Amino acid sequence: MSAHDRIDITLGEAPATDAFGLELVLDGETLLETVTATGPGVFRAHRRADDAPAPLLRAGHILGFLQRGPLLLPVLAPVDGWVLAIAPDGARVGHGAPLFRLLRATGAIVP
Amino acid sequence: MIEILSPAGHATVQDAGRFGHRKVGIGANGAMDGLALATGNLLLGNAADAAAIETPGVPMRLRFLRDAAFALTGADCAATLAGRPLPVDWRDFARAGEELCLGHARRGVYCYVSVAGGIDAPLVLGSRATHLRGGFGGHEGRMLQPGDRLPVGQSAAGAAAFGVIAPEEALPLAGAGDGATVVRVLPAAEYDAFTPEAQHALWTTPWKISAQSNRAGYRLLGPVLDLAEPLEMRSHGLVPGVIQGPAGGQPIIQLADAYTAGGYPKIGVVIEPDLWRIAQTPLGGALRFQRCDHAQALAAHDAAHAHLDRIRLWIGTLGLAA
Repeated sequence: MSAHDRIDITLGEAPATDAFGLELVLDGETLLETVTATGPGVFRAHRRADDAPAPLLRAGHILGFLQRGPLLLPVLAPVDGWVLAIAPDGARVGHGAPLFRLLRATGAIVP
Repeated sequence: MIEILSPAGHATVQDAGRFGHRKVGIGANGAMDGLALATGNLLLGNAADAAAIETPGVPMRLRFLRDAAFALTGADCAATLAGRPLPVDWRDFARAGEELCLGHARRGVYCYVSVAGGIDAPLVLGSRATHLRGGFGGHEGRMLQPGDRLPVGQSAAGAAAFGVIAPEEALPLAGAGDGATVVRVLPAAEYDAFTPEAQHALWTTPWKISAQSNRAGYRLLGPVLDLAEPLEMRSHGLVPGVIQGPAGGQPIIQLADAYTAGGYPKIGVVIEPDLWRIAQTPLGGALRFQRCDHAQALAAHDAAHAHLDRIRLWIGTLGLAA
């Protein structure tokens, strides 16, 4: 497939945790990116339960949080893209635990 | 230095308040949401009495004229820094020239922009709080305007970005399930002078906050609180949180810019640790009064301070102070 071919990808309303197993490669380039915990904590997908995730994230934007005590440490998007999968909100995680699976906005898939 | 770029509504410089001058008719003023101000100062390692910009949930833009750590607390105003979305109850770092944009409040009312080192407005009677009626304190004793340049104190705070859990999560208070904000209230000196019906209404009514509300006080819509018999009173001292029952009228809660004295009978007083909940309830929203006693009021005070102490402890533990 060349970068000029059209591909349609439909993202669900509510990203599911089982999308962590997805893999998507285009012209040899993997389009999926896993964001992992940089340390231990309680994973918070949102600051408040009714906060809606942004439809498109830019590199450096806050994806979610790791809670330590009353503090929230940012989990940042490493690339532009869309969230495909999110770890369970409130999960206790350790260093390296997968938190987000992103579809990169790159090549044929641009915002 | 911070420059105000856009009309800032009723934005002012506020600190924790101006105390000790009530006897000469000068109220405390200070932040409507003292917990949010304290949290912002804590995130930045500022002194507890450092001043911040308070804005009542209307769009506002400002520019940092030098690199600075800053914090956003209180209302969630969909803030962006140089186009990057920021959560609330959050500390971040701005480069010189970057713009901070606040939108309409999507949750809460009063938003606080704190800066490492604090807004370095002149101390007037021991405080930097703006006294709008008196035209002193804060920035030239008035609301902020486009073009204002606010000096900032010295600070060694670095570029760490982190936040804290929402205050309603840290200090939960069960509601009635109708969306009304619950605050705890002590019966006040003239409580027994009101009719049993008025006393019952005080505790059971979802009181709507009228449009005739501001930093001085919130006028509430609901049943009229009648006195059992006419009561003439000399003017007496008022503090923020006092709920007055004007004859034949609707109750008024005195708030940060309250007059220092008044003559209406007092049916209750919202405890100080819950005043932030009122400050973050929008006009048109509702309040419910939950009766408490002095021991419960002191416990609420201790819980708020324990929350702040816990934030301080964790900032130190994780080495985020610098």
